[in-house]
Amino acid sequence: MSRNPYKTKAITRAITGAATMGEASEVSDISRTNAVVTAVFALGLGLGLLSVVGYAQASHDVAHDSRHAFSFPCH
Amino acid sequence: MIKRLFPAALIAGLSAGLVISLAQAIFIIPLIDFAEFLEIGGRADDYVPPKGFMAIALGDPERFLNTLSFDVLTGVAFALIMAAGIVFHGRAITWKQGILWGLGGWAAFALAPAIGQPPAPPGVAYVDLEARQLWWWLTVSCTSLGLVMLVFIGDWAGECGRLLDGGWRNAWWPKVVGAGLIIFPHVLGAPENSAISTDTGTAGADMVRDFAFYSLTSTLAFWVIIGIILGAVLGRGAGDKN
Repeated sequence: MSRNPYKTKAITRAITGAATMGEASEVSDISRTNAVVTAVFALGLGLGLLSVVGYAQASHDVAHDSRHAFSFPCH
Repeated sequence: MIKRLFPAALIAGLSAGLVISLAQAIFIIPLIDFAEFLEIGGRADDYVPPKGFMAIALGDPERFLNTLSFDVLTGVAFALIMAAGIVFHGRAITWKQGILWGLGGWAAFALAPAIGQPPAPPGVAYVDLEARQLWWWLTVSCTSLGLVMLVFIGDWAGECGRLLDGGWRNAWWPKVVGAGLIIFPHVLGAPENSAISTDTGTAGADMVRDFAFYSLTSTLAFWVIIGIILGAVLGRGAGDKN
């Protein structure tokens, strides 16, 4: 259709190139989303563990010296 | 990076927890032991200190193991939080940058709360537990967020700028908001009677000062260890997608 084969090639390359780039950025978006979800989970787990270790009254006696040393206000 | 997040946090937390337990057994537990002796009405002259690390570990092994376990759990908790931060940031990291992350964690979780509520041995007179806990969480949250805004301003503002199609990369406002967040808990003030307490109770001023010093230096080492290990483990093969 095109009278200039070089132009056609360039357009094809541009289209396939763009398609490849689109795929790549989609993949990296997915892995970025996975990363963020995992990090949110790790953050929640860390904060939950910190609450139990640093603040739960149930574990006060066994955690006593640690809490003083880390300066968690516990009594 | 993601696949290694949990193993990295476990290794970092375990290592830092073991090291700080050792430091505590040498420098801090003897102070707690003495403070508790004074707290129940003992006279300083009558106190016979346990001789060294072995006497502490073997004298009351259960208590030592409890403390060791909780130190390791605290280490894992903080390592998980820091690893989440590193992943949120999303850039490749080395152990050297890990040191900076460690310093940031120490500043947010140890130094900033200590400004209003210094680490204290048993026997120091304090009031209102709930208010102090609330202030601790407020300070830790504000300082962490404030440091993120101060340090990662380029990324942060650049990201906002790209979203809004504006040139905010060099925006000044995240820095101002960040600094404001860091200062805010201290302007608000720690709960009554806990800010640089003048009432050292039965512990005495010298012990309170020593205790705060050893607590802050040992937690500094603890946080830097977490940062170095997370930086090294999470940074390995930073090129691959995982």
